[in-house]
Amino acid sequence: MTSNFPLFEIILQEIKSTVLNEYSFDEQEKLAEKIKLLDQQGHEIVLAIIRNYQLQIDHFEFHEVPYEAKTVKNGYRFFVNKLPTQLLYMINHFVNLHIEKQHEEKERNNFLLNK
Amino acid sequence: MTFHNYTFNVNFKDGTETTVLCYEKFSSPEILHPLIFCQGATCYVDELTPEFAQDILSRTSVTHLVVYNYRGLNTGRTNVPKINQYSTKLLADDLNQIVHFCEMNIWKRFTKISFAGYSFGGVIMQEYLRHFGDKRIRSMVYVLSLCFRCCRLDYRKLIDYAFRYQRYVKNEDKKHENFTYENYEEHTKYWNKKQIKKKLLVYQSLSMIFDRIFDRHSCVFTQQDLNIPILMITAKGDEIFNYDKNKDCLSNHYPPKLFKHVHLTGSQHNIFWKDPIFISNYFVDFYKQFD
Repeated sequence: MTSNFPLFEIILQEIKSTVLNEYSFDEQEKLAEKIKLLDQQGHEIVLAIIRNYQLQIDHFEFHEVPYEAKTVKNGYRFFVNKLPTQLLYMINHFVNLHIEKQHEEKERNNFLLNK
Repeated sequence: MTFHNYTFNVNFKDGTETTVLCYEKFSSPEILHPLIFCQGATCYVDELTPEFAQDILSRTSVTHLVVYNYRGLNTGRTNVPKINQYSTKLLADDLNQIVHFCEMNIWKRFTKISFAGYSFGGVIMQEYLRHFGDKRIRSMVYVLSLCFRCCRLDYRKLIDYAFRYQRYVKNEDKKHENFTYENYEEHTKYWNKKQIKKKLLVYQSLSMIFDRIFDRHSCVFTQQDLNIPILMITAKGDEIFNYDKNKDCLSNHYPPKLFKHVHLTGSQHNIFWKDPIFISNYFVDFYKQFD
């Protein structure tokens, strides 16, 4: 099957072998802090992952707001404790990859600046 | 899975021009695993079998597979004033420049890269490790190649192999002897390439032999504590890098948990060309285990 969202499929595939334990309160806090560090593109992809998970895995209705999210002035506010464990693992995996990418890009850009 | 490939020219610091070919699969920027493949002696970028590249991209996490022409293959000029200045160190420096070029222009990040080298390519890969360290390296695969500073190259067999190669080339030559208006361009290209290869093979063989003779006690694997996974594929019938007749430093000194060795019985040095998919199967298992 071809996917419109390859990143979602890759992340889902990569966490398949992970044992999914419930996220503790501390782990949830830590994840929320990491998400805050992401750039705008990262935030958009996290939202896309949540939305895709809601539709593709949990088979929610298209018009339903995902996982009791609240609409705020700048977009949506999600509550980490309302998200399914597998989705949290996926988001965590993506966040780690994205932070690494941001870091590696920054290294390269700094190199170009100092050249 | 969607792939595409593109070639471009790169100039080394001294102005020597080379060609780089990149096979890339459609992925997301977050998922990045580049592989630089160092080919055998005098191999042009278009001589890496596309089946091999596509198999690696479709069955492993590799997102970019890069091959490049060695110094001198593009124009026939190595840009070194004396033949003894064409050293494995010079080729390792070229590889470092290719890595740097790709970081700046292809994947645009400073990320860890997997290396793989077939035959002479393994020599260059090892020299890169010696001069630039393992900071940028994710993993390494030796294909029909050994630590060239420690192994005893069987020169008599090497000559046998060269004669066999000459016989193979003779048959190829016959196909390109009859020029017609339609095939003129293709045939001219073949003969030009052949002339360049002939000259470069002397440079490459001598660089390997001299560096081994005069600098044999500087094997990177016995001197440094490296922490990268290594796969070594050897063949029982290998005429050049024969594992059975050599005590290889890798299998003796390298940490066993990071080292995987596959010894092919009933295969020779040319198995990579004869059956590339057979070889890529070992890459798939290795990347699954260590990635």
